[in-house]
Amino acid sequence: MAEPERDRLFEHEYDGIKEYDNPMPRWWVYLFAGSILFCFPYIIYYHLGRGPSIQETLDAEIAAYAEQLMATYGELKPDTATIVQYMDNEIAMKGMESLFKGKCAQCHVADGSGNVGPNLTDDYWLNVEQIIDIAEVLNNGRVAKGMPAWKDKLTETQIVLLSSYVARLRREPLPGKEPQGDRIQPWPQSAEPPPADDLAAGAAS
Amino acid sequence: MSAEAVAPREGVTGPLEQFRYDDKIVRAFTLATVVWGIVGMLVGVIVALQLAKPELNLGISWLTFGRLRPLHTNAVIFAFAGNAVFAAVYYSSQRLLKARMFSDLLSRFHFWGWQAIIVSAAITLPLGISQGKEYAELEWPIDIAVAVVWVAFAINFFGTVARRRERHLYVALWFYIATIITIAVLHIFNNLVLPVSALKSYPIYAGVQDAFMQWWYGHNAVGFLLTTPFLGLMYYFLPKAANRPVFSYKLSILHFWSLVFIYIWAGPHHLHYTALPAWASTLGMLFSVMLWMPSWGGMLNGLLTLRGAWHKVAEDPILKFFVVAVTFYGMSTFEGPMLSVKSVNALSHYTDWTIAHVHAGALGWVRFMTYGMVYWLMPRLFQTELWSRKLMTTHFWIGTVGILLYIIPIYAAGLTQGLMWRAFDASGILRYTDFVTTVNTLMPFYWMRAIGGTLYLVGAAACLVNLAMTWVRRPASYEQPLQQAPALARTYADQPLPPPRVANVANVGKVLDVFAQMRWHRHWERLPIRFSVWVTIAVVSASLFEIIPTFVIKSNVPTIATVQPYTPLELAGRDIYVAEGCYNCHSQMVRPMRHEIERYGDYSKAGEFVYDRPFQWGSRRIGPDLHRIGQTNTSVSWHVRHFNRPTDTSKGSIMPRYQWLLEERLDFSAIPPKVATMRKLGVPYTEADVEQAEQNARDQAEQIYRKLIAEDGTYEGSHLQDKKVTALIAYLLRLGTDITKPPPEEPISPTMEAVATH
Repeated sequence: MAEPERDRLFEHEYDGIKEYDNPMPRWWVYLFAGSILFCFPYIIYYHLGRGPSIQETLDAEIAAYAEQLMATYGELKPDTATIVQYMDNEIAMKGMESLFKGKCAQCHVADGSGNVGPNLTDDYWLNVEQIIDIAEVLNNGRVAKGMPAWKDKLTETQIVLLSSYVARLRREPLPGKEPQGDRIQPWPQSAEPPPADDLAAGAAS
Repeated sequence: MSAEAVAPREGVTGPLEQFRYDDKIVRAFTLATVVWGIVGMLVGVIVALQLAKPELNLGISWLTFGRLRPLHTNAVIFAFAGNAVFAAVYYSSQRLLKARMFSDLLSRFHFWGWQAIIVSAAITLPLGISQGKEYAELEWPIDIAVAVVWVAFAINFFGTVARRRERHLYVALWFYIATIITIAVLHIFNNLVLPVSALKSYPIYAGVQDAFMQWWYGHNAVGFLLTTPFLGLMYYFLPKAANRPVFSYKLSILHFWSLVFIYIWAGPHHLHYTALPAWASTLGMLFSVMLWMPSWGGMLNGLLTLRGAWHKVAEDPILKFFVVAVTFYGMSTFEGPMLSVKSVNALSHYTDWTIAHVHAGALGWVRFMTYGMVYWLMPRLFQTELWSRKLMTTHFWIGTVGILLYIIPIYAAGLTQGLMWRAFDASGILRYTDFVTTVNTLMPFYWMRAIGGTLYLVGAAACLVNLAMTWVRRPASYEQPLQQAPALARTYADQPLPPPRVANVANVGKVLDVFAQMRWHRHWERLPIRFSVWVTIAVVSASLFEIIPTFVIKSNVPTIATVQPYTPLELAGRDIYVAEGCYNCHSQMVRPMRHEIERYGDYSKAGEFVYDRPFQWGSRRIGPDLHRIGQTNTSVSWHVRHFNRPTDTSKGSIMPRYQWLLEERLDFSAIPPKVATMRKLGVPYTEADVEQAEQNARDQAEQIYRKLIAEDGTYEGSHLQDKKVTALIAYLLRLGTDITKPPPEEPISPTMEAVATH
């Protein structure tokens, strides 16, 4: 390959290694200068100007979720009717299945059959007699026994929906941890069918 | 070649002198490089296989991932790359300076001292003797040994420079100088600790500041042990092997100084979205972006040096090694700045993406550069032909395929897991709340990675075979050719600076033009002391610009009144956490992002870490974050069962069993010195706290044991209260809980406030 004209060698050499007096590639110089100049608008926007801080970005993200939750379910209150009603809301229960796997499965196993914590699929319960008691246990926990309180970690709406999910686990009894506590009555049946269509539309939006 | 001399031969010379180069020391370092390279990578393959199949630790504590992963990183960085750097420095410096090494004794001391350090690392790390900071795990006595050997190396190197017979320092030597100075500074200041005992210490920094120092060190260890010396190596061995002049002297100057100055600032990009103050994070990002072109300057000078020699690359496996290495350098140094952009980092951090990035650099750049050098050196060092050129070529191809098989699945794994972590379903609930699902998805990638790593290891073994067989065919005694060169004259007149190339501009324009021509640098190149002082100033000033504000500005770490020092038992448990290397798989840093808060709990605040020595934020989540574990999992029996067999409580978990924690007794008598040392470091324990530490720990252990039995009666009689597991559980139950406690009733004392804001 022919040498380009511009290659001029320095006379100095080190152990046989010589060096060219070539200029730096233009694009290299421009990109380097550009990367330095980039700092100024970045700092001005994010640290001196209106650029959102990490906290503001997070707040916006959380607010957007709260709105979504609100739009989907409204503000749910832990009462028997509401808990029973959402047991048949498939979209809500799918979300709760994920929440249960993440927060509860370490002690109660993903299918609810129990391990360190009691079996939630059978008819024997330790701290629950009525369906409403589930929400109470979720809220306050049984800290001495290893069950944490979720009051400050989940929203009230999530507590209600999670109570529905836990209650629903009884529909499919599974062998797992041996029965603990007393045999309790079946959950009450919901008085009126839930407005499932509205909810599905809300969740999808 | 239309070579035109642009500078006349310089100066008057001194009397002609005769000398011989010391190649024996280069042979020693080269052999050590190849052998430790295999050891380090073998450990790498073992830990890679353990990720796919955790039982491969064979139930043995010292073969477990958390203890072996530090051994892997330390072995490849300090044993393999370290020895490679020394081989390159000892071979090329003598020739570039036309002088034998300053002291043969120092050379031997350097070699044997370094190997002894490696052996002590290989013993202590699997035993769980660790400072718990990545690539700085070695405990304080070994750290002192590293410093001593490094100083011996520095004396030997600068002594050789002082006795040189070459007036000017070639660019390779600039990079060696930057390496020697900077590594010394980094090593010493990141390892300032107060010993508790012969093999245990606590850092003088805590929490956010410890994290800052660690990643100032960690990032620049990559910069000044895996980048600058290898650029020096490239500047010597690549033009030698290609027999081509270096593309651009000017580019060398500019990319050297910009690299040395800018690199230091970029450390905080390892701590984006953590409790590190936002300004530090921004500096880390911006300087990383600025570092892109200085790094590419090296790549360009490497690749463009091969202009007109590409036909040689086709024939010569050594040049192939170099070309692939420099190409990977270019890719990694583009990827690095990209990963340091905050929004990209939000996705990549804590995933295998980082691991892929590191291995593209380590397997591609560092190792291929080294193998190119080793093959080039073999016939010259052993003064016979290379045993098998074919095997060398095979090594190149196996290695290249190995790199690709390693990094491609791991990139895919990183991206997959990062996206799964942040996935929400239509109802706004995390799609994969249970962490283990995201881990199990990666299994096929982990197997592929292990295969790629194994292939690469086979290539490394081929190199050792080639080296051994070439050595077998060495002559009966090595020739030591007599060299001769004139001594440097006492006086020397520099070339006058060229005139400005611009007329009709203000004076300042002319001055700038003369500066831009960079001939002034030639003057510096013959003044090694001044040169080294400027390197030191560049490195130290850049460091201080970030270190001083980090330590001085109080608002960096807002005080949280409810955050209290650990109890003695929790402290002992924390030390077990450090010793077992839990930080290799678990972070303790919930980032301020909704998916993290949903999964782990409230995000981590700077003030929560003021008693954390060392900090344990971690850099990779092979398992879930643990900072809020004390809030989200309060069950003692769960923890006991989980440590005994993680799959009992978490189906699909790849955490190894820690059954030895249920068997080994906790040394309660070792606790008071821990508390006393913390007290000396400014943690507000009283004298009584130190005196009663042992009893206090026993009481708390008893309490936890009673809770365990209350939760699950089958543990009655298990006597776990005096086992290590109880201390570790005490620590886990405490983690991340202080922030939710009610504020203390009495106003906290001034000393405590001082500590909390420290």
